Amino acid sequence: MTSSRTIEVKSLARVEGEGALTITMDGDRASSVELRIFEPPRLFEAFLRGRAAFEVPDLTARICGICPVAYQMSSVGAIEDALGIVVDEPIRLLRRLLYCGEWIESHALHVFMLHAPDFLGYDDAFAMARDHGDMVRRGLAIKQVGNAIVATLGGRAIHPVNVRVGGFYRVPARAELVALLPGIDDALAAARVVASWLAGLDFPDLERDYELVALRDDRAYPFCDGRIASTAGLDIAVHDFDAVFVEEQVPYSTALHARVRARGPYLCGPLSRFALNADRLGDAARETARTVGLVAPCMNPFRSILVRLVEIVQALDEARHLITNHVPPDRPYADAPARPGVGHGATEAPRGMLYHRYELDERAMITDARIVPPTSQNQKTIEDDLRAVASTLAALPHAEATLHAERIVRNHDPCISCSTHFLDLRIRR
Amino acid sequence: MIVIGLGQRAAGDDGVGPVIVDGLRAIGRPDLALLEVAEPSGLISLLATSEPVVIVDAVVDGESEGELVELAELPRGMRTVSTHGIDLGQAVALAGLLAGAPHIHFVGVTIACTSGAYLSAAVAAAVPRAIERILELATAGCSRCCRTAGSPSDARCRRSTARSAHRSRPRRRRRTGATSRP
Repeated sequence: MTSSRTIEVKSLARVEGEGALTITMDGDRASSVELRIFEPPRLFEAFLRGRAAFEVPDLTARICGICPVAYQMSSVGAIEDALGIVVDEPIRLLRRLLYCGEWIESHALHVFMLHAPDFLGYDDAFAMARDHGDMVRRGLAIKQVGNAIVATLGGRAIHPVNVRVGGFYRVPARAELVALLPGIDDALAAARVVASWLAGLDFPDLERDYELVALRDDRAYPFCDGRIASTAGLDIAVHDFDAVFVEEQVPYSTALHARVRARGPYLCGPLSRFALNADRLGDAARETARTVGLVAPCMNPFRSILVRLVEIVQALDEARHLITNHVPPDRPYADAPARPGVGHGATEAPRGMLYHRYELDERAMITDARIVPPTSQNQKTIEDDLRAVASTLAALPHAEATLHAERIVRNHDPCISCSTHFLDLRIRR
Repeated sequence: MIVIGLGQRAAGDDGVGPVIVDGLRAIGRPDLALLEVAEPSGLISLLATSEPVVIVDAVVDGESEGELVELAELPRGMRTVSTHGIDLGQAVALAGLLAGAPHIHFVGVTIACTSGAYLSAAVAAAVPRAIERILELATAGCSRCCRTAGSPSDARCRRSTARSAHRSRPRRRRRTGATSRP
């Protein structure tokens, strides 16, 4: 006899934004999985219309408090593409440094405050801090280094204001950058200690057959540059995004679901970057990967915590390299006359690829905007992860099944607030 | 005594904490350690101290601008700004777990605007009053008495705490810390 039951998490904890989860079980099979995102639509794409292109990085930075740099980088990339601006190499490198700061602070927060408690059986980081205070302290110290990098390049730590189309409003002096080095060295040392600790966590067995999608850059581990690649052989220019990917509405969520047109759901984020760019990691990050036992590709979403640590080390190490080899740019930004056009930009936000597309009129005013955040791209795959563990959930008592289901969601560090700025608002009557 | 200005410069009135620290620095009080931090998670390492601490921050109460708010103890369960950040109450609680929190006296200035590069006129007008109040706390030894006795014993401190207790019953939802929506 099969029995049916419903696992319902009315408000997901330790994820950003307002979301819920309903799994309808039919025996040991999930007949329905709905990751319900009820964060109100934020309509960013609509209110960008009619604004000047130079305003966009400051407006899009407000979409997210933990990944504003990603929104700034994807938006300036798209607008520079439309205006035909190629930024100077020192500016490109300073943007990478800024992005390093964002990865460090975002990943550190997720690893130490949101994700690690799952593996150790604590309700939250506060409970974990009683027994693992040294690790929490190290994690927070690493996060502060990321904050300091963002504040130095971005003008302030939260919602930075120094990024502009073509470059920066002000380039920091060399001394300001060099002042970051002691903190970066301390954070690298802390990450080495943390690596051994994280490697000893108990990771549930779950191997998924993801199509992993990320930027791949010939020169380096990807931040702002490269083509869109996947483990299924995809290799396209960023401006072909819409030809390959499609977003669709589902009735229970204010975030759109994305899929590869020809195939289906996919995953972006740390697992994808690591799978497609492990050969671009620096020596320090490779060493960390060895320490924690990671080999690319990693298809176990629980082990994403390890990949985030590898990426923290990569970002710290690259930040160190960029500062040590810093060449001041001749000018803080490149300018270009207004012109009509369409531009595309994709960068690697901490939780995955973030795509922007803008249409500009002859005065460089925005006539159309499109923003595809990583969480909406991953939403369908997160639901499929839950389907994949349905038999495990069925065997667990309700409270444990609920906790396990939440863990499946948190593996991907979803940022629900980011994902809910869809444009097509439909009212059913 | 340590004074920590919490908030972001170039974020309108959210920068009132750092601006107050600037004012204290200009006065020149070598007995005060003056620090600044942009967001609450940065507080945790600064609170690993046995020195009494004054945290000065912007407060949104939905009703006023430029009014001083004092709390001798932070209420628990203050609204979290975002799960992708740590709010002031959480930062103090976590600091306590990690190192044992020092005595913390909270001085807030109510604000309404987090846009623009500078403070609004109403909030800027409150800066000298906040500085005066922090200097009172430092010179009267209020924090020292609070630290040693575990509860306010100085008359000046009691008055402050009594006012704080009254003010800490919010008529409307209050939140502190970074005021923009992450």
